[in-house]
Amino acid sequence: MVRQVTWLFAILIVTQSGALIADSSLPNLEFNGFGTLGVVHSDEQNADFVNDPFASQGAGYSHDWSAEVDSRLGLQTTLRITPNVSSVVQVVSDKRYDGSFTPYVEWANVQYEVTPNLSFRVGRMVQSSFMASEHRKVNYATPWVRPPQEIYRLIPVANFDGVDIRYRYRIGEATNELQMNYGGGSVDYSTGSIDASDSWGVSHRTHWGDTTLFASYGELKVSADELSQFFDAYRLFGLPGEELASRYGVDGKRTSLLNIGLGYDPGSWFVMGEWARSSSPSLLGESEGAYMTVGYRVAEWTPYVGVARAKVTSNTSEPGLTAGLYPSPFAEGARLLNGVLNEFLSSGMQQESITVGTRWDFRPGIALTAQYDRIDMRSGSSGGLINQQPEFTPGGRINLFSLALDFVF
Amino acid sequence: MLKRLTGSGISLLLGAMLSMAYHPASAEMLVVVSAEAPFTHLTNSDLKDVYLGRRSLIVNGLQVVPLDMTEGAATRSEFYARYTGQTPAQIKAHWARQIFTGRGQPPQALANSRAVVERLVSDVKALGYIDSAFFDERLRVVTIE
Repeated sequence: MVRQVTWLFAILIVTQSGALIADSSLPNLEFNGFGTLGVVHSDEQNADFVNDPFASQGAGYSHDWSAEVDSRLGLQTTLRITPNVSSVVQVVSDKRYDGSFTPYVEWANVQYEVTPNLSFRVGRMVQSSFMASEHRKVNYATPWVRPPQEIYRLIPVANFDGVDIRYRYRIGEATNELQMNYGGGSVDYSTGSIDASDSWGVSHRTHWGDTTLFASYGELKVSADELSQFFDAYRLFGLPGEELASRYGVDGKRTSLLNIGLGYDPGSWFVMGEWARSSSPSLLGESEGAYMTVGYRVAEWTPYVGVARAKVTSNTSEPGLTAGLYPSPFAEGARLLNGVLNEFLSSGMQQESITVGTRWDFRPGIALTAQYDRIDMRSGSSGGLINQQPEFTPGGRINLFSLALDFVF
Repeated sequence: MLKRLTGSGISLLLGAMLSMAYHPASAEMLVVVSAEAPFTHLTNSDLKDVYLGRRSLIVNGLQVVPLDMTEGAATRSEFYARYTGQTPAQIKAHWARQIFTGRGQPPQALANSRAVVERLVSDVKALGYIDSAFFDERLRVVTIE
């Protein structure tokens, strides 16, 4: 419903604004693009390292060196229709859940600037949950080969269809941007989709001299058909099953996300860091993540080093149903459900990592970045690895070597 | 910051002296507006914000349209180094963050100082930087504080 209303508004603004064209330089169409050609090697051969948790394959098990983890192409058109109305459409192609590189629409919205400092948008946008969320796919615009997963995977940050308001204001020398949004979206994976509805968020960014301060808070309702079916099965087990379903079920519950970030960049060096916490009274549980990256600029080179950490602060195991109380085949069913529930609860990312890399800006608009990551997974945690083989042991250490050519035009 | 301000003050002074006393052949960079423009002073922070697209209004609600030079121009690198402390690559990354999040496009880029001068004299809202060799009486130097 939100989606249909959104698109109706977008169409109305475009059609209504046609009458207002007066400036001879309008309408004006700009065409831009970004992309990454990257390869990554993981020394864990029994599971795949991925950037997008919904990708079908990655580096390690499926490929020794994978060009599919980071490679991407994005194309964007920016159409300014009147001095106050503009539209952005951005299409991105990267590795997806079905193994393809089928392009998808990441941004498609119409913006109306009430004043140079106040604007409204309707259509598809990306939530500014984290400091670099909105440009997380534009690797040229970030220091790393990929954003630290300890933060950027806390929720599957995705685009949403809805509305947002941005207000810029000044206090002394500080420029500020306040952003508020409302909408809903969904992410597909191999056997279904995760839907986020009724989601809203507020973020605030301050630039004060060389310092950037960022804070955001948002809530969303997450649901997935597979999870609903899973908890429906629990409900067949009488009162204990009902209790477990209401404690761990996700339907109708709100997940919240709080993030704080800071950056300091006097030019010759920079430091940036974020801390975030996601919380849900369901099997999604509570998680925290943080990272800090320090870099130094010398001519075309930007060496950097970073540390990051992610942990689950809610329980990661659950006794579940007492299988012995039920007659066969319900006892077997109870054990099966308990097994799946515990697998879910223990799958949260729990790790510490060290990143060392360097960027080389060797041509205007093109940069080459080499990066090494050492990831220590906490005992029992599988980090964010997918395609885990029977030989895979959680809680180990993996070494990653990445090389990426990033460009914008 | 203080160093940068002192540095820019000294080079402005030098530029002014050169253009008065000698034939202006030396490659000094000047921040200029039309002689008809309603302002002659900007703070470094105003200038930086305007060129990085963080705002288009300066003190007293005046609207300013910044003019840029195409990438690779030596004057351009000097301008961004002096007033934003950033390299052309950092400026490129900054605009990538703006463009691909729907926050706007970089200032219009003109090929050289001559083209910037021609635009400035026909638009009192425009703000630009040029090689001092192209300075003439139709323009006014903006003092950066």
